[in-house]
Amino acid sequence: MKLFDVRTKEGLHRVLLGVLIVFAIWTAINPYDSYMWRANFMVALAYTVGFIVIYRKVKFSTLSVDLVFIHLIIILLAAKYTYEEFPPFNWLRDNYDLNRNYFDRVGHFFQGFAPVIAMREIYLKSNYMKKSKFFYVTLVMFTLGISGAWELLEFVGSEVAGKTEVYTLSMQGDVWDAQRDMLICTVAAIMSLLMFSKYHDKQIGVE
Amino acid sequence: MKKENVLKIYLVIIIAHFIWSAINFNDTYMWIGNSLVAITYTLGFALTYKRFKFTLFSYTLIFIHVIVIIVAAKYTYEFNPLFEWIKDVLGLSRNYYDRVGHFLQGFIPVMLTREFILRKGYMKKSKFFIIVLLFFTLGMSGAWELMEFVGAHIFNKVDVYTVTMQGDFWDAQWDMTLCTIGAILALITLSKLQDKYIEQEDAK
Repeated sequence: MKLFDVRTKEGLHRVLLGVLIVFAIWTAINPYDSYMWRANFMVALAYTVGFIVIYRKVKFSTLSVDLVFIHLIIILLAAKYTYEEFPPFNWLRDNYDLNRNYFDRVGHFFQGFAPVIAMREIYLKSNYMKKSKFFYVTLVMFTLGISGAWELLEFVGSEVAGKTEVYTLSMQGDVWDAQRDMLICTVAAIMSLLMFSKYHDKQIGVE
Repeated sequence: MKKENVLKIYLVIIIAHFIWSAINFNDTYMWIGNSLVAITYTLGFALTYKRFKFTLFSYTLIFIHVIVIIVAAKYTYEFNPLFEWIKDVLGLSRNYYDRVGHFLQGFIPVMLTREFILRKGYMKKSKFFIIVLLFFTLGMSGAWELMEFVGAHIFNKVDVYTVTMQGDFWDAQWDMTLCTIGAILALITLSKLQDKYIEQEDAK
């Protein structure tokens, strides 16, 4: 099967997509909370479709695909278990006497960690910007913008669905929840750029 | 009138307002906080004037924004007298001056960023450019929320900011929504005008 030959870039990406689809189907079986399943599943679906559409133009590097793949898996895990009740993090909570389940923070970390590299690739490959200090400022601000947009989506979504109390619950009693989320996202974006920029350049062949 | 002279007048008005705000302000912590923002904002553009000259159009926007912040330094965002009056007349549940501030936080920076990116040649105009501008602005708004958050924790003033939220759990979200609306409105209404000013400036 040439189409799914993992030694080629496209083949590997197709295999990852296959894994993702199987995983997505698994989440649909007996999810913890049907509203949260629908919401997170829709996010994962929109994310995947959007990414594939852009992929056809940009031909993302394996680094971008891997990061986005991990991010999608996390979102799907949240679809299955919700961010508040993800079992391994419940265990962490109980074992280390934490006052809450911290899985949503992992989600917010990846919200900065993964998309920023994909964005970097879109900017560079489409020649929207050249590399410069300001380019990195733009990338971090853009990511923080995405994180802010996410908070708005949660807000509008829960008001529209009349599920305000669910999200008040997901703040887990913390008025500063949105700020902490965005802070983590920003730190993650900066970390990701520091860690991967050079390697990423090599992968996409941009000087 | 020459551009430089207009800018000098702006600066004088800002300083006069600043002195006025220092006399008899409402709340010391809020005065210090907002004054610092206003001073940084003004100095940031004044000191970089030689390196990058914005158009008079953009400096006018900055001027308006700084004045709004200084007024907030004097009265705080929660007790602006004009908006207290509006609150009483219309029977509103809160003072909405801070929402005006957040609206401007989108409305003005988006145009400044737009000019900076275009004139520096970082990007060309395109659909993607608009998207970048909007997310960039939302990012700045987010950065602002983070600054409030970190500031409140460093100065141990968490209770003050909980008051700023005026009892609204979704306060940060409302702020960012207004900022985004401000940015979109500014791009729709002011882009062409700004382009004219940019053309003039570049022709010099």
